Amino acid sequence: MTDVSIVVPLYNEQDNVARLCSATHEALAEMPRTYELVLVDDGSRDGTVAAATAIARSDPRVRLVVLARNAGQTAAMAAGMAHSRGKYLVTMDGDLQNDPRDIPMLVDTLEEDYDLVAGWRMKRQDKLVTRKIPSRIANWLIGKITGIPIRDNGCSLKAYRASVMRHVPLYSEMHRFIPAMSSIAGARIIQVPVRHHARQFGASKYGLSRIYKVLLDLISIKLVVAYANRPLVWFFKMAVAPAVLAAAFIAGGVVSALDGTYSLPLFGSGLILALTVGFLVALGSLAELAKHFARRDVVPLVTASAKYSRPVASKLDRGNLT
Amino acid sequence: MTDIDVIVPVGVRTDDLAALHRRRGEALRAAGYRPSFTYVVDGDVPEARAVLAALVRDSNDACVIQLSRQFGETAAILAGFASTKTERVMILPAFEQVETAELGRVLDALADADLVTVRRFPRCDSALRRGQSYVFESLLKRVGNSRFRDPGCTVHALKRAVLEETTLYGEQHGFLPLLAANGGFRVVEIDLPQARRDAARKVHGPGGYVHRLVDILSVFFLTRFTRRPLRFFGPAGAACTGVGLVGLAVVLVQRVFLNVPLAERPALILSSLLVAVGLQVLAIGLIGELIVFINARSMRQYRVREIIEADVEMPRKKSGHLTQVGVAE
Repeated sequence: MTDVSIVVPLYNEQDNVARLCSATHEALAEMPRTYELVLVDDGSRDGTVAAATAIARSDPRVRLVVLARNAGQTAAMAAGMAHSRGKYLVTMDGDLQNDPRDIPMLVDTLEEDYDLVAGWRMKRQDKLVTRKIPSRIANWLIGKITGIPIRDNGCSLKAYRASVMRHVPLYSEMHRFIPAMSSIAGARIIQVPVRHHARQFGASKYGLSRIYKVLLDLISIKLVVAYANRPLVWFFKMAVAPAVLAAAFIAGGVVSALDGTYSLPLFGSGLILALTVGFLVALGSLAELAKHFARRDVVPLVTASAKYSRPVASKLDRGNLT
Repeated sequence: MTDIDVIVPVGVRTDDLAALHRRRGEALRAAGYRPSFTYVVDGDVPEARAVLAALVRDSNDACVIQLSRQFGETAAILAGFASTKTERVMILPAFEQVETAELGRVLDALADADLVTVRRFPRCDSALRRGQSYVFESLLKRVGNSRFRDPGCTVHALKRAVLEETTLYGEQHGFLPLLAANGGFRVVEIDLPQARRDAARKVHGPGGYVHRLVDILSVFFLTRFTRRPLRFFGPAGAACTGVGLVGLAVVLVQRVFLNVPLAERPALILSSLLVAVGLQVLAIGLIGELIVFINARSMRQYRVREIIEADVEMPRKKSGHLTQVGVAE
């Protein structure tokens, strides 16, 4: 049985593949555990597959999973994890911005009885305005909204206990929210600082435009993380503000009626908002119904560790970069 | 021994099936294939009944499936597909859409593709008809990111896996190339000359256009937002709610500080309406998200083409097509 599977999604990284493999082997030479490197080609259009195939054919520690088309980073990670044999999973970017020398430390931390160790690029080597500041805002929001205060959700370098990841649904661009998602499964989470290098080859694939998608994703993550098992509660909460407004407007309307002037705007808006309340409650019931007929629990709890499921911010941090 | 099952959905529009059957069989045999035809009769098609009965009686390469009522062309194709056994399958309309003599080329092209779709070219129908096709095609190009130039042509050849793994319902068979390409299959488009008889078909009634538009919308949604419904509903809902809230704030501020009585503000109704609609749209998006999340573990996310390792290589099917479908864990 392999101890550690290192999953690396590749998308147009032909110049980085060979360096990535040699850097990983070099970094893990001293590690007392067995490991495998699972490369996932996510429909690259350059020579990535050829470069990676050459390595995978000759090196028994490397396996290459070729996807039929570009499926996105999350799906690529899911594919890699599905084809991993290790007890522990480590995910990493294919562009050498993460440093494989951090892997032994991450795995050691896992073995201290954690389910998820998130890397945190403390000294990030990226452009300040287009990368670092948006990322800081996004991370703050993600932490606030999901209740899992990870400082660097965008960092791919993370380590997981394979048994826990089996319970975490990975879809769409969910990889950014793995800590939050795995917290529903009751994962014990910790974050540690990791190294970060500037990109050497190839082009960066992200830009500022992601923020709006992240925001929308965030809303839905909040819904599923907090209310997946009780969706009606969420819809009730959404209905509170319109209910208050409706009550106020109708009260205003009644007051105007006492004067003998029946105010159409007050009654009208009151009624519209009151109907919305009804509609939202109806939709909430529909959501409850959808959940009810799901074949099994939406996210099965990892019962043994469920009590740690909401760690506080200070407890998440660990150590200093040396 | 049959090596190509041909599915022919028989609906309202049929040519002389006996002649067509003979010519198609000849064309495919001339190209070196051994076809067997499955005619799926969609509901009650009186003009086809006698012809098909005679075909089954007189030839050994035809069978007929009669659907109990009209279910639509897509359902007919799927019903026919369920009874086929060959690795490669061809789907043809019940009328001559492209030059029959050239049909072998469609199957030839399947050698290095999972699905072959056909563009009717050169065309021989009227400018009006071509204009219509053009509009349909460019709409689909825009909303569905389609690169296929003749979505109206229903001549397809495909490998079994494509229909097995692509979810089709409603009237979506026309979008099969697009949906298959989205699912990670290799789709190629080849040119075949349009048949003379195809040019003589009737023009759609207004109902036909509405249907097509609805189909395009559903494909738009299916290809872009299946994983993330909130990205579709979210911006509209948020914008609506936002404008409404600003309106409410304005009238409330004016009430408190400028003493404009609320009771005489129609803007109040408009703002409340916007907030109400916006919240509802958002809520619908959230329901969508919830449904996706609940079903995430049975969702197809990626397709593995091959796995390369040092000693063992996963057996690659001889056609090189896809071995595995990923499901979210």
